[in-house]
Amino acid sequence: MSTVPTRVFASGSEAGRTAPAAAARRIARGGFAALRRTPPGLVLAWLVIATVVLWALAPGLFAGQNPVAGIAREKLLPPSAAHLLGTDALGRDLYARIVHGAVHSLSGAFVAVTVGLLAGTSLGLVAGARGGLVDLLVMRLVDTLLAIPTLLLSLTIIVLLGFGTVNAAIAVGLASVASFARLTRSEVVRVRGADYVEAAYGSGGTFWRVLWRHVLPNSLTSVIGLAALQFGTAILSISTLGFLGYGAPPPTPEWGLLIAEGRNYISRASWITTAPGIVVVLVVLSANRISRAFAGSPR
Amino acid sequence: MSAPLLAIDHLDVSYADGPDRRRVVHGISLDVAAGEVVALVGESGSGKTTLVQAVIGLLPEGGRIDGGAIRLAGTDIAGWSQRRLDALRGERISLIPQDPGSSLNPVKTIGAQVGEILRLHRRLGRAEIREASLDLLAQVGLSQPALRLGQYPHQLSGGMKQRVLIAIATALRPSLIIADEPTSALDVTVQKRILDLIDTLRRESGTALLLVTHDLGVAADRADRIVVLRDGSVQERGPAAAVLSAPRSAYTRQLLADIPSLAAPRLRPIPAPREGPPAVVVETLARDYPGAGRRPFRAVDGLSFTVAPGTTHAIVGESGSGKSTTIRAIVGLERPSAGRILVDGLDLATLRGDTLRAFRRRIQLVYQNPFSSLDPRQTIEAIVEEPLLNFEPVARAERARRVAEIVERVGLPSGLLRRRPAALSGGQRQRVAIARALVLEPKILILDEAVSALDVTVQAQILRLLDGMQAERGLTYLFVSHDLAVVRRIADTVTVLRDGRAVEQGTVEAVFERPRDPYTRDLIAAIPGQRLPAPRPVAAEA
Amino acid sequence: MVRRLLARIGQALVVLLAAFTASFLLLQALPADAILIKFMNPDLGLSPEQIAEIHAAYGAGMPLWSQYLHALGNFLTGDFGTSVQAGVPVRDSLAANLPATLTLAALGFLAAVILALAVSFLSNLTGFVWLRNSLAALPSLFVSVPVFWLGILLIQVFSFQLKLVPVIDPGPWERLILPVAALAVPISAPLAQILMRNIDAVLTQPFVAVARAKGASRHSVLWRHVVPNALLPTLTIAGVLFGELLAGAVVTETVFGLNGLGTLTQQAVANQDMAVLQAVVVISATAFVLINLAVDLLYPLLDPRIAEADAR
Repeated sequence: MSTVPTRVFASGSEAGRTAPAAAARRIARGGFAALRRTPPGLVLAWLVIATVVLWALAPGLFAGQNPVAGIAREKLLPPSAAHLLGTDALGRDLYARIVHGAVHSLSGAFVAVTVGLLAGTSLGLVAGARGGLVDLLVMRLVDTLLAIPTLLLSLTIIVLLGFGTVNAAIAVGLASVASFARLTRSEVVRVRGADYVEAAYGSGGTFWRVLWRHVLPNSLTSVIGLAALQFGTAILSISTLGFLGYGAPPPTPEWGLLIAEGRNYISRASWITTAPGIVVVLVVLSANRISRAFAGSPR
Repeated sequence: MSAPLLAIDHLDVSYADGPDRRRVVHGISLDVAAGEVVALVGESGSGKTTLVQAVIGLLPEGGRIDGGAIRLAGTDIAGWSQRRLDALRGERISLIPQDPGSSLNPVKTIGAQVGEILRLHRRLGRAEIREASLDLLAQVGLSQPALRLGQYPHQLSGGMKQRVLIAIATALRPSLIIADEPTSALDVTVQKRILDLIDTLRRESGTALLLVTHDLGVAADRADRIVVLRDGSVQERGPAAAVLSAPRSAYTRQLLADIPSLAAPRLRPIPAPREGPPAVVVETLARDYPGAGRRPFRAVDGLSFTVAPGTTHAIVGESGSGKSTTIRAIVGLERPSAGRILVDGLDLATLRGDTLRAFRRRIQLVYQNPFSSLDPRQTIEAIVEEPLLNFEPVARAERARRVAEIVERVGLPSGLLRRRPAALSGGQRQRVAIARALVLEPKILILDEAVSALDVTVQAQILRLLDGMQAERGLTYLFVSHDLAVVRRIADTVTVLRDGRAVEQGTVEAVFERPRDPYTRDLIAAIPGQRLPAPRPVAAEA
Repeated sequence: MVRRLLARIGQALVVLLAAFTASFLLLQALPADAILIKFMNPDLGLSPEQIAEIHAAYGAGMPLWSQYLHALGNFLTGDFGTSVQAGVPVRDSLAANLPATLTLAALGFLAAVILALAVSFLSNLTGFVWLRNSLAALPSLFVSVPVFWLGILLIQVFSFQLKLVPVIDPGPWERLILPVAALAVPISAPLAQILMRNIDAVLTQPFVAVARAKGASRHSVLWRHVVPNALLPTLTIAGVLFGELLAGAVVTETVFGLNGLGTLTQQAVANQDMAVLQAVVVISATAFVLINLAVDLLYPLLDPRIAEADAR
């Protein structure tokens, strides 16, 4: 064995100079290769999400027209240069409505994921790390929540909280607590059994230190993957609640509501439902693609 | 002269690697004559498995033959369609796979899986297939063949499963059998019996064998000719005796020197036992697990031994012998059901909470699998530094100094400190694990199959490192292994475990030279490489 | 074996009781006073006696635990209370609406299974890389499509543009074609995903290589070795799929204007009809628990490894 290290340590100064330089070259090469190897689909997914986030942050930059007040004589116009995606029954520019609607869907999804992630991860972490009776109780609670279909659970919570954008978001988030809790727990249990965790206890680590240094960071990767997936699911659920009329009230340009409003005109003005639907599909598809990248599966 | 049975001619094989192709077999040529045994020897990454997968036409997805020819009795089959190869596979070439545990379909009966090869190539009725399957199972030495036909794979032991797979591979008396590491997943005693069985069946039907192995000892015992591969190219080839006694390539010489064999000398002379109380005392240790039915399963039963400070004690046994349970009890990860353990004079049973944590400074464990024992998210520096953070505060600069020192001592380049385990080879990872164990300056190091997952050359490097550390720091080692040859090379005293009981104990010399227990004798006889010549040490130690 | 069976059934009962308790607390106990506040609104002009009567009708005067036991007893005997909105027993409106939804869900499930099997098998059998890749991408697309939008899109294309399915006065089966299609797409997605993942995982198993080495063809190995191993684990998501099916029914029935459990639920939410909502929640939780129980009990019969582990 000794040949390799002898060469490296033969002269300390030389090793000091060449090793980091070589490492830097390797890293630079690796970075370039990594970019070249990023699947085009993933790049596209990040682009879609970035665009929609920009819509939510600064809608005025992307769409000049008023999303709420329409011009009555310009109603139900097909897509044209003046109205990229046409107009709706009240003469409002559909493109402007979609761009301005991004903030409702995105912030809703953000709230939903935050609620689910915080509540679910804490429950799962406690259950997985503590085990015993706590684990048993938490997991039976999770079983119960999982037994009720998510949409029904969201609807039940909405009935209690009342209709509205924030309430719909909270309802969707609470309905996802069980999935987060279950995944976090199984990850924690998996990591807890790993050799490196045992080794950490074996080198004198205390329960909390090992939890913080090893169990938590190694459990979180797939939880973050689930959060990305849940982001897409939340956009779908929130638009569904909006469509059913339990989310944002009109004339908010929420995407689900846009589709609901266009329903009555599908024979005459199909673009009113088609365009927002495609936007929802693209955003959800992108969120799912990013989540798979976290999970590390190629498909 | 007629064409050889198998002639591989300048074969190139590559795998898709993102947008590029990575070549793993570089223009390899080799012949196998009818009835001959050729061993393909190489370490991981040598391309040996890829080569035989190409021969049988079953490269994994992304694999491709880029050039060269594979001639079976003179006919080039390299470009054949899968449909044409289907008629060939099983009938003329067959395969004995590496891992018997996952090589049988878990939801089909043994009968269905043995019968399948007959059904595919022969026009036979159900009764005839059953009859023939029974004969095959009897031929490979399975007891109660009629019962086995209706059983599922999980109801059979590893060795029995490999016998079923051998029955399948020899069913149609093919002219060539490819055996890809057929015994590396099995215990040594089982390993020998399986290799003997393949030999017998092969001889009877005049079948040629292409034996893929990482173990030069297995090759030495079984092969007529040996081909040594490294990084996808042939390093050396020739009749087994010639390759072993007069290797021409430097790599083969290194392999031969590093291979742990019974004939190899001990790394250093037996040290005089140091003064002082024993480092480890185990007295009538027993450990029960809740088992089937009402009776608990006793994994360790009345085990006793002592280890003198500064020496190496080996615990040897096959899978299920209770080795792991024993060492987990000694490091305090499990409580014994009965008996007493003294480590460095401390009775483990008296330790709780903080005293147990303090005790951990004295005794450290190195795990078998260097891929799972390092946290993939930490840098090497963080991994080695972590134990120092668990006890009384050490200043940051002092920690950095101690980490750098131990990392250098275990032979890792300092450039690796900021890398993560994924960037390291198996041998480098095991060095990191050793550095982590030693940074607390323990007195006792427990090595749980610590070199078993490594290639022989890397294994030899780690063994030399461990030996050097022991001489330098007066460490006591408890070395757990299934590999007697390695034990012979590093240990001073040894306990042979079987079914949780010590069947033999003593100095390595006594146990290996004059084994008293029949089981120990079996174990020693089963070690491959008895035909290896006594190696001359290579000038590797500078 | 028997002990494990009893433990498993016990666990199912605990989950059911918990689901009932939670829905009772959330939907009946907490909002009872909230509803009373609604009736106490002076605009309604109800006399104090009438309010007291309503109060009693809701059982709000009783202590919580006796309300709970009362409701539990009623549920066990199949009495789900009275719908505030429709003024009829919940049991009757459920009975009226259940068959339509069950038909829709069963057909949707059947279509989803066929779709998922077709997608996953074709993607593994086809020799064309482009076809394989596009088929493999389908499930990800399917999960990303909002059901209500898909329904509208289907009406738009098949009823208005292609005029294949009549909108006005369709036959009893014609009426179901588009809803079933809309429902099947999102249900097939997770099924196809899990199937494809399992098939891929099984294909890398050494026993597949061994079967090929015997001389079995790709197709033969797929049917005889891969499919039996890949299909088994899909059973475990049957319960989750049922929940999706029910949620899908709520949306599809609304989009296509069909009567059923979905429309009933939707109206219950719109009108805050707690009794109906609780009945729907408890019934769907029961179905979920029963399906999972059935899968758990059935699994050992199909997978010899698990049967063995149980017998020990």
